[in-house]
Amino acid sequence: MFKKHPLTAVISLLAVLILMFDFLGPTRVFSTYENRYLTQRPSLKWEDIVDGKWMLTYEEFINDQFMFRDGWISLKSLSERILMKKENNGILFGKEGYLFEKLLELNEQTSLNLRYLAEFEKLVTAPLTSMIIPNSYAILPQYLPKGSPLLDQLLLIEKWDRSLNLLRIESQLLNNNQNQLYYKNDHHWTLEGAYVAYTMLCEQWNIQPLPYESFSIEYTPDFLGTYYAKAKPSKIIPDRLAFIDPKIQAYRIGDQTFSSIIDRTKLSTHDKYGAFLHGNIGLSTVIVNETEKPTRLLVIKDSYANSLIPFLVSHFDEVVIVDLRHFSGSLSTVMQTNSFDQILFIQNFSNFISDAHLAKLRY
Amino acid sequence: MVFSSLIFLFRFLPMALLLLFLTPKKYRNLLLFTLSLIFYAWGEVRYIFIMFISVVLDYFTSQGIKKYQHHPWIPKAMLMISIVGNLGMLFFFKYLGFVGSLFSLDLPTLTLPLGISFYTFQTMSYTIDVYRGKVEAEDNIIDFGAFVCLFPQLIAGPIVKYSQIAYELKHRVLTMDKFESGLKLFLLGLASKVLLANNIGMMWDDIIRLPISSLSTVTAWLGTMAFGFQIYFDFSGYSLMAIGLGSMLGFNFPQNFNYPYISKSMTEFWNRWHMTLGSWFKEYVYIPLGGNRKGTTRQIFNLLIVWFLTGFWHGAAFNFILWGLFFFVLLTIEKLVLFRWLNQHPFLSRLYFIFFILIGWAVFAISDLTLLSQYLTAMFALQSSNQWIYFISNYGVVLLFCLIFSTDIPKKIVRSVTFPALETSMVTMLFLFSIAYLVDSSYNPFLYFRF
Repeated sequence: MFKKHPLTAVISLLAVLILMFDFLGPTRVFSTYENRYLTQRPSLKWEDIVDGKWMLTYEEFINDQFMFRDGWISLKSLSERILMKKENNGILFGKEGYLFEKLLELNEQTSLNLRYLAEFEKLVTAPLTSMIIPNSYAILPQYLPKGSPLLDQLLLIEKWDRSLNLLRIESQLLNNNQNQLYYKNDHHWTLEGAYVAYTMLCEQWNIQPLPYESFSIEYTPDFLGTYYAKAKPSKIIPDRLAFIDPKIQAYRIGDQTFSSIIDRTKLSTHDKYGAFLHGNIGLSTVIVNETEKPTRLLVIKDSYANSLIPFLVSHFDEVVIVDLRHFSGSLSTVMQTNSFDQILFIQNFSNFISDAHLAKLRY
Repeated sequence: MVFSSLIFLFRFLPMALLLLFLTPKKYRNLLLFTLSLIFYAWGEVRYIFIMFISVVLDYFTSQGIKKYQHHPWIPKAMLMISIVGNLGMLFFFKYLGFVGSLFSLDLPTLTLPLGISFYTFQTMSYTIDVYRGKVEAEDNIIDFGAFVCLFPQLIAGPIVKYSQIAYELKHRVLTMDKFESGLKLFLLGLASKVLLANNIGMMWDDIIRLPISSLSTVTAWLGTMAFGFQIYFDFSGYSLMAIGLGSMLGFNFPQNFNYPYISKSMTEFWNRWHMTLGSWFKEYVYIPLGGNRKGTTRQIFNLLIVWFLTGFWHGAAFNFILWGLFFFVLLTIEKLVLFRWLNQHPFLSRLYFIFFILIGWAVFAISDLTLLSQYLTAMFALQSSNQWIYFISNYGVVLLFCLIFSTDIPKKIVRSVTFPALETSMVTMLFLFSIAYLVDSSYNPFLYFRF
């Protein structure tokens, strides 16, 4: 058979091998390599078959549970390198190990979100500061592959600011971009990046910012975030995750109360950024000082704020944090049950242009 | 279900092959019919009834034609029922929304049943051929059903005429030699789709998503080039997979692509591109209209009809009609004056061909007419920027591969060195890379949802 029909022999052997592994091998729940949950075998339901949902999930299941999945992913990234591609899975390989999101266009959601935010600015009675934080490539263009035709975030933020009332920090970020303001392997800014925003906010709120050195900063090595999980670059230059664990009275999520805003158990996992604020939670409250009449800050945010909030807590008695993507309640209830001295809306550019949850700003 | 998916490669196909080889010859067509229905139902269960209607409609009209062949009007009536039925289905699912929008009626847009443009043409050709007495009507509805729903070429061609596989439907033999050569074609087709088409398709996808005002001239041309390669490697890859699968199952399907991009004229291009569609229109539209036998004016009119229909067949939108008419104009000019000159100037004729085919692809690719006119403007506006550096550095190697594999040079090289072990390992390697791209698939579009 190998002599007369070699291809049939080889491919059949390969197919049998793959099928055997597929049927006998274990079903994985989480892929640490990709940092995401994998699709599980869907249960057979007649209505799911009729509307085609079962087929779609089953295909995802086959893909996600494919034998040696991680190996195939590495083979693909090897092939992309052979093809001398400057990217993989929508992540650009920048210079000095920087990975960047390949963001080419706005979204149909963008104009809606701009409107929601503008309406929100008019609606709130407490003093509001809104910020749209540019992503790493916009602040670190020197590390981008030449000619990268990415969205001009700075230009767009400037344009949007004409109809919004944004606290702009792009030039401060650009001025400080010799520091590591963004992670190389993750879509977030670093503590240093967030500190730039912190000083600007203090100026806005007329409070004295504390110097960076006065915070007790801790580090965890080998941080490989979301960009890395998608891009699988050949040369791995891990980041060092920096975090602050400020002294607080309590951190409340629903009925649960924690003594710290940092979930240290996450630091040893692949989801290191999940340590901040115990992950992205719909509604949580940091009690800094328990007083009769607390000064209160409301932060409506995405995960960029997770490294900014530790700087802010020392200036308020209470910080209420709402992540609209995970928030099922209503914003008006939050606004009515508490009085706020300051409200901060903060999202990163990439999330802001596509976040489908900002309609909740219309409370 | 599509061929370029793990579910097809590692669930459907192994199961189908195993069953087909184990089943006695007598029941093979019944099994093939059933498997094809499962294959079709995977994407859209509801539309399986269209398959049944197609089978029943053309089976009974053809039987009617056969039974009453000497009757003065019944055969003609039967033929009409078949044509109206087939075109009616096609019109209802594919063109109703478009035509409605012309009269500003807001009709719901239906999901296009996969491959409807292909199989309605196939079944129509069958009934027409029965009417013309070219083929004998099939008595066995199972065998006929197997022909109509035949999964290898059901959704993206080649358009196989009944007469081409009538014999094989009943008497095909499965041999290891045909299986081996079919498997090779299938895997090459898969690699063409997954490795070349998808990778260069990403470049087109990037470029068309750029703000049109910032599009530089070079980038615009690179974009339409990328699209041209994408649709070629996608479509021809699909045809190759179909032909390969056919051969594995004992069928001989007609060739559908023959290196169209080495053409020296549009006339030559259409003899090399989607050949089964071209010959379908020739046989069932152009020649019945009189072809070139009724004078030049009538011939040009016939060409106009054929190219309008060819364009419109590719999608229910104005740009596809424009695209068809674009070829009508060029082909007419070539027929009347240019053709001899083009054949005498191999270099200039290629330049001419590439220039116009790229413009053609822009028209084909962009359905929004405003965007299309902006895109065409960008192609000639001589606007410069450094975008092209990124596209060349990111996709340069892929482009080079596409360029090489769209010519017949690799085939000639492979023919001159026959070394089976090398060939087997090359094809296996391509297969492994294809799997890798399917497992980590961020981009694997199916292009024929509008056909």
